[in-house]
Amino acid sequence: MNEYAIDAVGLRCAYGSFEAVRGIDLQVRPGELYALLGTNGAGKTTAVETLEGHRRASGGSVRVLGLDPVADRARLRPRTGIMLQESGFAGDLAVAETLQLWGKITTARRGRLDVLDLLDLGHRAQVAVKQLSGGERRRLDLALAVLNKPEVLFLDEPTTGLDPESRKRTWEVVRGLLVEGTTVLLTTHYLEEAETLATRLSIMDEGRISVHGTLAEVLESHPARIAFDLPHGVSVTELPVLPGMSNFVNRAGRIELNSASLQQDLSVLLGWAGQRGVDLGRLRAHHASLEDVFHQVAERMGAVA
Amino acid sequence: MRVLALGSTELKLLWRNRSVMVMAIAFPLGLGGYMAYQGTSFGGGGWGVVVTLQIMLVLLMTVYITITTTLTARRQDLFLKRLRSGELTDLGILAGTVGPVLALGFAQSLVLTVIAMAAGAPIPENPLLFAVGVLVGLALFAAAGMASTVFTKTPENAQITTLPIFMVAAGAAASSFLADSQTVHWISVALPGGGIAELLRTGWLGTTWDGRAVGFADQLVAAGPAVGASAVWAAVAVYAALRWFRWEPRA
Repeated sequence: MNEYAIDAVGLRCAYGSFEAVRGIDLQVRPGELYALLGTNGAGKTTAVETLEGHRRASGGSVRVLGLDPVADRARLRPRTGIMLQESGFAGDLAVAETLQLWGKITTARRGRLDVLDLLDLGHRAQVAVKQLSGGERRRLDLALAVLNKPEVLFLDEPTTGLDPESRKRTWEVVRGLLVEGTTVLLTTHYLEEAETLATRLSIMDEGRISVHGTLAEVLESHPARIAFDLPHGVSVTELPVLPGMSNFVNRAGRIELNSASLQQDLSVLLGWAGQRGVDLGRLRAHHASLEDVFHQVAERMGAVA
Repeated sequence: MRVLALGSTELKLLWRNRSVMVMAIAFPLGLGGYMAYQGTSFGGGGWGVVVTLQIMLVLLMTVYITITTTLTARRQDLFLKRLRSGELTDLGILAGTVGPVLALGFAQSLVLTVIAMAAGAPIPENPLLFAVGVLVGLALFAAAGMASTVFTKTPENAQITTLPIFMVAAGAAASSFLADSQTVHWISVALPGGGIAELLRTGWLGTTWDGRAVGFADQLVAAGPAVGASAVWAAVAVYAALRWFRWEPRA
């Protein structure tokens, strides 16, 4: 039995001569939520659709619940739930009719969720799908994906375009499934979403995974930041040397630097300011956030391009 | 079971689609009914022509064009891709989408032949041959409808992309009984649709193409080339549909 619910090694996907995914390893343990982040065009959707079995890998190996998503599709589908990046409905069907259809073509191996209530679509049950708002369409799509409490759930940008209330509701549904042991692979643009939900995550850019690990690991591997306004009458050369300092920049009197040991650097800085009796305006000190890491990846990509 | 669930949903969708109602149901029934009303003016042998044209109308309008349009629309709406994310197999999705249209075409054929007979058409001489013509025709044009989605981008586009096969089939059907030379006749029968028309007309009238009345066994023999040519076209269309069918719109 495979240790991982989703196990991709050296995965490659090409469209003709363009290689969208260039050899990634993606291993998701049973019951965890793994977030795949990345800029637009990084290859996230291609990677996820390959794991789902919608397209064939051009290289590497893929196993989901120990099965080949393309060759064993028929055996895999009753155990998975899929929400594609773009919803696909027949616009002339009502919400309730759409759910009825999916109720009939989906095996309830682990029981069913009352998705209409769960996703706040009850009052829209008789409305034609083409009249739904974008957010309601996404919620209906999630409803179809989680209907049968899948063992593995693929969510490709499930909350893009949703209002904060719907986003929270989506998170609650996903958390509920995690409690029941569902494994979730999630792609998202919202870093907050990954921070809130993910056990582990990776950041993709240009078809490769550049950063991966638990949230703590990813954040620890990136330096903290300190920023403050240079006090009046003080020249840059008078500032103290901080032991963990790097990437020092002076942007027209605004000092920004990376700190390898935030607490130590900060106490040196504050001690100096206290002695000199100067005011460090708009002082900010924080550990790396996922946003910082993400921007670094995006910048690095921009520098290469 | 799952295919039936999809099929009944598709039937509902066809019913709610106004252009399907007009082009696939009202138009063939109206025009076919009118031809039956005019049927007596063709004389005895003319009924074979009337019934053949009625069925061809259904095969092309109700079956062929509707299948291309419907599949293209479902593909464009990503409905097909969504279904492929679920438990239905590829064949199940196709059967559930195409099946209801075929049922509709079969029902329309039945209604139109009943109308023709009510208007004075004689009973078919060789019902077996006629039934084979209808069934092979349904299979051929269903497969052609699926194959045409390969070069159809949008449902609106289907009005144009279905035109070549529509014209060839309609022309071949007409010239299969209008041909005044043996060569032209056999060319017509060899074209997609021409063989179907030959089967329908021979089945209804029990005569060969040049009007000779022949016995039951000879009718079957005379129909051989038409069955063969139509079966080959059906196989080609099925192969093309399964080989090149796309489940998502081109990016």
